[in-house]
Amino acid sequence: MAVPAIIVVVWAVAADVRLVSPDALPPPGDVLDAGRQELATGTLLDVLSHSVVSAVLGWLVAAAIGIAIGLAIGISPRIDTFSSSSIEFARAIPAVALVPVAILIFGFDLRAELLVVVFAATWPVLVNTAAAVRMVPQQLDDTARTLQLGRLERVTKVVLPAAAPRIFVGLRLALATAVTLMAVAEMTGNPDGIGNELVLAQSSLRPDVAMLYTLTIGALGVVLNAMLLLAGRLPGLRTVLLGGPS
Amino acid sequence: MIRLVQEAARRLGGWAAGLLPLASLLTAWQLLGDDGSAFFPRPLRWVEAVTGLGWSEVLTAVVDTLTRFAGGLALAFVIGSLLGLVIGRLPLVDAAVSPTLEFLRATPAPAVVPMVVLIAGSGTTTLLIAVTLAALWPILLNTAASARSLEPLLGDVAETLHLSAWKRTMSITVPAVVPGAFVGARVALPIALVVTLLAEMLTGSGGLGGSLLTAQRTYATATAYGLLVVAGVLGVLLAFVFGVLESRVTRAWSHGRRA
Repeated sequence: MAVPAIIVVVWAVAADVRLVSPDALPPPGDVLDAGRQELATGTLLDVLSHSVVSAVLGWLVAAAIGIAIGLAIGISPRIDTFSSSSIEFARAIPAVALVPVAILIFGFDLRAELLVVVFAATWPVLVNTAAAVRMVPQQLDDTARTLQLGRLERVTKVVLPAAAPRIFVGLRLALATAVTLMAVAEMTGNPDGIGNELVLAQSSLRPDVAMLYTLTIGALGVVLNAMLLLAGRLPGLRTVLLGGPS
Repeated sequence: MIRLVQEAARRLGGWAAGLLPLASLLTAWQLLGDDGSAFFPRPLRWVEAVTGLGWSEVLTAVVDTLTRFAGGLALAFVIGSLLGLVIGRLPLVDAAVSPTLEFLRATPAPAVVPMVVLIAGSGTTTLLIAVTLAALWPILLNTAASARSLEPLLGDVAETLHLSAWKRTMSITVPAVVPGAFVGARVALPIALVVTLLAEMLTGSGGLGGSLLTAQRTYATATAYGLLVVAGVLGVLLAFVFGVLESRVTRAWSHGRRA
C-alpha cells in the first residue's frame, strides 16, 4: 500500500514545484476540491448513477444474449460450424466504430449507449459459454441420459452447472468491457454520464475535474468487479442460479 | 500433398459455412431494405457512400489509424515486457507495485485519453501515448506472470553450465517470457484499436476515427455503416496477422529452448 501513497506524494510535489504545468496536471488538493464541488452541485451523483445504470443494464442484456447463443453453439457442432466465422468477424469490429451508427439510429440517447455496450459485452460471455459447454465431460452427459433426463433438464441440471465457473469468467470480462464501452459511448456519443463530464472537463480545460472523473471511472471498474466476485462467492446466489447446490 | 489440399478445402468450406448468418442478414437487408431509410440504408448504398468519399481518402485514413495503432502497440510491447520482466523477477518490486497495477488494470483504458490530451496536447505524441498506455497493462502483467513462474530448475541448470548472465537471459529467461508477452499483446490488441479510434475522435486528428465522426456529424448514415465495415475488416485482418506472428515467434523460441 506504500506505492499509491508515494505516487500521491510525488504527484503533489511535481505539481507544487511546477514540474508540469497546473493547466495540465492539477495538484491532488485541487482534485479533492473539484470532487467536493461536484458532490455539492449534485453532478457527480447524477452522472455516476446514469453511468452505473447504463453499464449494468447493458451487461445484464449482454449476459442473457451471450449465455443463450453460447449455449446453443456449445451444444450443437452444426450451429457452431454455421456461425463461427460470422462471430469472428462481428467480434473483431472495434465497438467504438459502432457509436456513430448507434447515434444516427437512436439519436443522443441512452438506447444508443446501450446498443454499443451490449454489442461489446456480449462476445466475452458468448465465447466463454460456448467453450465451457464444449468442455463439459462426456460422462456427465452419458450419466444424465442414463438417468433418463429430458433435453431441457440435461441443460439446466447438468450442462449449465458444470460450465458455470467458466461462464462466470466470461461474465467478469464482460463487466469490465461494459464499463469501458459505457465510458467510450458517453465520451463520443451520448451526452450524459461520467464519460461526457470527462470530455467536457477536457475541452473546458479543467484538469482537476477531468482527473476527478478519470479516477471515478477507474474506481467504478474496480468496485463493480469486486462486487461481482463477492456475489459469485455467495452460496445462496449459486443455488438460485444453478438450481441446486454445486 | 493431396491431403494438404483437401485439408485446405475443408477449412475454407468451414469458414465459408460460418459466414452464412452474416451473408444472409446482409442479403435480406439488401432485398427487403429501403434506400430512403435514414436509419437502415441498404448494404449496397454503404459501398456507394464509401466509394463516394474516394478510396484514396479512405485508404489514407486507414493507414493513419494503422500507423498510430501499430506504433503504440509496439511501444507498449517493448516497455511492457521489459517492466514485466523486472517485476516478475524481483519479488520485492513485485510486492511493492502489484496492488497498484491491479487497480490500473481494472481502470478502463479509454478513460485516460482526456487526461493525456490535457497533458500532452492533441498532436501525434498524444495519440501514441494514449494507445501505449492502453496496451501496456495486459502485456506487462502477463509478462510478469510468466517471469514469476519461471522453472527454478532452469536456473540451476544455468548455474551448472556456468552460463554468463547475458547467455542465461537470452537462452532461458527470454524464451520463457516471450509467449506470455504475446498473450498479453493479444489481449491488448482490440483495446489498442478502440483507443486509437477514440483518441482520433477526441483530438480531431483524422484517421478512421475522424472519418467516422464526420459521418455522424453530417448525418451520413450509409457512410457510417460503410466505415463500420471497414473498421471490422481492419480488426479481422489485424487479429489474423497477429495470430500468424504470434505462432511463428512462439514456435521459434520454444524450438530454441529445446535445442
